[in-house]
Amino acid sequence: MTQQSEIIALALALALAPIVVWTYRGISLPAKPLLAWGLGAMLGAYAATVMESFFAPVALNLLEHLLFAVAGVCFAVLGCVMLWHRFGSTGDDAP
Amino acid sequence: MIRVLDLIATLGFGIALIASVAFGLATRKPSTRHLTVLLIAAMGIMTAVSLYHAMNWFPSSGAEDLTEDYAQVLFLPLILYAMGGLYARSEADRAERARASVEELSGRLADSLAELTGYRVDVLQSLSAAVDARDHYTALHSLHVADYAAALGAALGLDDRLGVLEQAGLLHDVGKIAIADAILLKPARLTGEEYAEIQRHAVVSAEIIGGIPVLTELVPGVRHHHEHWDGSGYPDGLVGEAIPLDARVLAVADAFDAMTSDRPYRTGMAAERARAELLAERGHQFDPTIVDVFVRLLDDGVVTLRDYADPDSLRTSRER
Repeated sequence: MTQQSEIIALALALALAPIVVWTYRGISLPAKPLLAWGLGAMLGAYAATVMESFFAPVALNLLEHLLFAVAGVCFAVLGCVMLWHRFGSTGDDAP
Repeated sequence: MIRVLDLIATLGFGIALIASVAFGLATRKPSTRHLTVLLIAAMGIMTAVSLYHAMNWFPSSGAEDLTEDYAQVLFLPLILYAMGGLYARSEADRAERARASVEELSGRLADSLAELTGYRVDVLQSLSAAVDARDHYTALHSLHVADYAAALGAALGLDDRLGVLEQAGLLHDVGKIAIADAILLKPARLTGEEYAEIQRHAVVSAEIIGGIPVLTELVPGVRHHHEHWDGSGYPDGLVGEAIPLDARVLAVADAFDAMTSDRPYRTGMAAERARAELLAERGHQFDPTIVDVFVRLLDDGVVTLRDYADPDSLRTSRER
């Protein structure tokens, strides 16, 4: 059964989708595809969370956690790449 | 299986959280502080959610799910805004620092170039003085020619050639180094053979100067400063505008100073007589336009006869 929180969250996600796309296109990042993959995995995980209330609950629940793991790895690598690119490549950016 | 995936997610978001904190600590600028906070918040939220999944600390209830779902949705705009904004700011800062460094280096380079140019002029003056010193009758001749040539260049509107004209004037006779003293310093008129030997100095000067990479621009003027407008000059017998402009300017400057200076076999002419000689050779030995300009400079007092006994009479183009 669909919970109230999932309906509200779905509405929020739909409202934020254009902002997410618009923002993503405007930013400049090293390894930008990792951000896209991470965001895609997050959205996928969230969609799976909502859909598991309607069908294939076991498979979609597994998919949700799998996509969260993928998103975590993507953001971890992206964070490290950003740090290295910003501070590690020249070593001249001491605060 | 699910718990392993949740642990991986927790680990990943945890690393991202640590990276965000490191980013924030390294960039303690007020302009990026709120962006860093958003980044840390986003990663913190997802780390907490993943940890909640992995540890299953609390029994599932509507309240926890509500919090978790909102947290997940909030993550998206937070992470986009924070990461994009932070990186853009850091890149802008880096570009600003690079621009400042380039400006500083450019300034230092300009200072060094000015200093080197000053040294080069000093060296050229010393070299020309060494040549002039072989013959006390022509001492300061090169400095005078440089001075007249620069004045002529300015009057002709050759502002971008003034330095070249001045340096070519200084070095136009450097080839006389290769001429024997017996000929160069002969206290009488030269024989035809001796005159032919003297004529070599233009080519020798050009060869000496041409061997110095930074001076190659002076070669045409120096090599051809004894060419005549009607083609009767040397070394190549060029005619009219085939003679490089620098050489035509030097020819007038050189001739005027040569006529007005003393020689072992004659005394120097007065400025008026030298002026008349220039006009007489207008269109024959000299470019008529350049003679006209030089005569006008003489008449207007812009160019005055240089006094060989008084080195202070020189006003180089650098001082003007």
